[in-house]
Amino acid sequence: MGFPVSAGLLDAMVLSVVNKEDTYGYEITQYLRRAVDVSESTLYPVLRRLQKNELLETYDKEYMGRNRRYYRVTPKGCTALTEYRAEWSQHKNKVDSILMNEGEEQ
Amino acid sequence: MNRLEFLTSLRYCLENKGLAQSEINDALSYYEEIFLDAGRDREQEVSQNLGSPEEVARQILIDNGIHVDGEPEYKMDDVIKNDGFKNRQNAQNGNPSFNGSQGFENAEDFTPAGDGYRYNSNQYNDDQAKRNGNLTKFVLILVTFPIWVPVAAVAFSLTVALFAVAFSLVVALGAAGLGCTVGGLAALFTVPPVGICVLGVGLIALGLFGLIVIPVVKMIFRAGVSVVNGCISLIRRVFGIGGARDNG
Repeated sequence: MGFPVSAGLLDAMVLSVVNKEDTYGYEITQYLRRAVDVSESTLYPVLRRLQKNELLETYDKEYMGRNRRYYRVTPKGCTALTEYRAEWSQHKNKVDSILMNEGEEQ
Repeated sequence: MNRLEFLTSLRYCLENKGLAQSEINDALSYYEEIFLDAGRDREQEVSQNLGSPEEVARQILIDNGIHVDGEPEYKMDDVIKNDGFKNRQNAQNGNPSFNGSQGFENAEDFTPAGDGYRYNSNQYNDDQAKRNGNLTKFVLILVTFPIWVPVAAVAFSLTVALFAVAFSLVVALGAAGLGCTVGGLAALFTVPPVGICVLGVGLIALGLFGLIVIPVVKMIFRAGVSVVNGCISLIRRVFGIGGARDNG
């Protein structure tokens, strides 16, 4: 991956993944790997941070005789995700206007 | 490295570093789950992706505001005691170029005496650091005064009360002796047996008084001096030797 992913962007992406469907640590990483090069150890502080800021909450569910920790987006996390999406689309447009020569002389 | 090795190593690196047990357990169960979800036959691959347990632990500790190695923490005592100019600057702001900007105002008339200037500024920084240290301590003392004022007051009044009791016991002994002697002498002529008895008691008391008055007064005086000395040395220790020089 040529472009580093900022902490804020990673937060937003994790929120979006969990928002689709409650899920667990390993699966979140596998999903994110489609787009960015992250490892489970990169994700751990992200999940901790989102929990501490009360954007995500956890619950345990039994799976194959053990507990698996599932993540769920809180209402606060939902609001944050909406804001992240709006910010991202603005950011994307600005970058595109320069990088892709879009929206020039109009 | 398999799951067990990784988790054992991670636990070892996280424990006894001041991290809350709940945080340790949280991290361990997260990583354990990753291994289990990846599958038993992919443990080596997963641990390669994760990086070394030492590095993972270091990151967790840093995220929790704990610095195990690397940058030493800023220590006031080091700053005061350390004579190395460079070292102190590194400790203060980790910016080696600070040295240059420090000498900047002197740059126009830069002469071989520049070294002397640097030395002076070094001294100045030393004093400054000490003053800052004393200021910090002073503020600390000021802030904690609801705690130490009652303690000091109780200690002080207990000491005074102890002295007062010792002193008044001696005085009472003397007064009783004198009173009994005089009373005994007076009673000797009206009721001779009682008079003799009281006179005897009075003389015993006077004798005891004569024996202990000088040692007790000396002891009280010496105790008083040592209390004052104790207070002075406490203040000296808190503010360092320089503070004591200022005080006395």
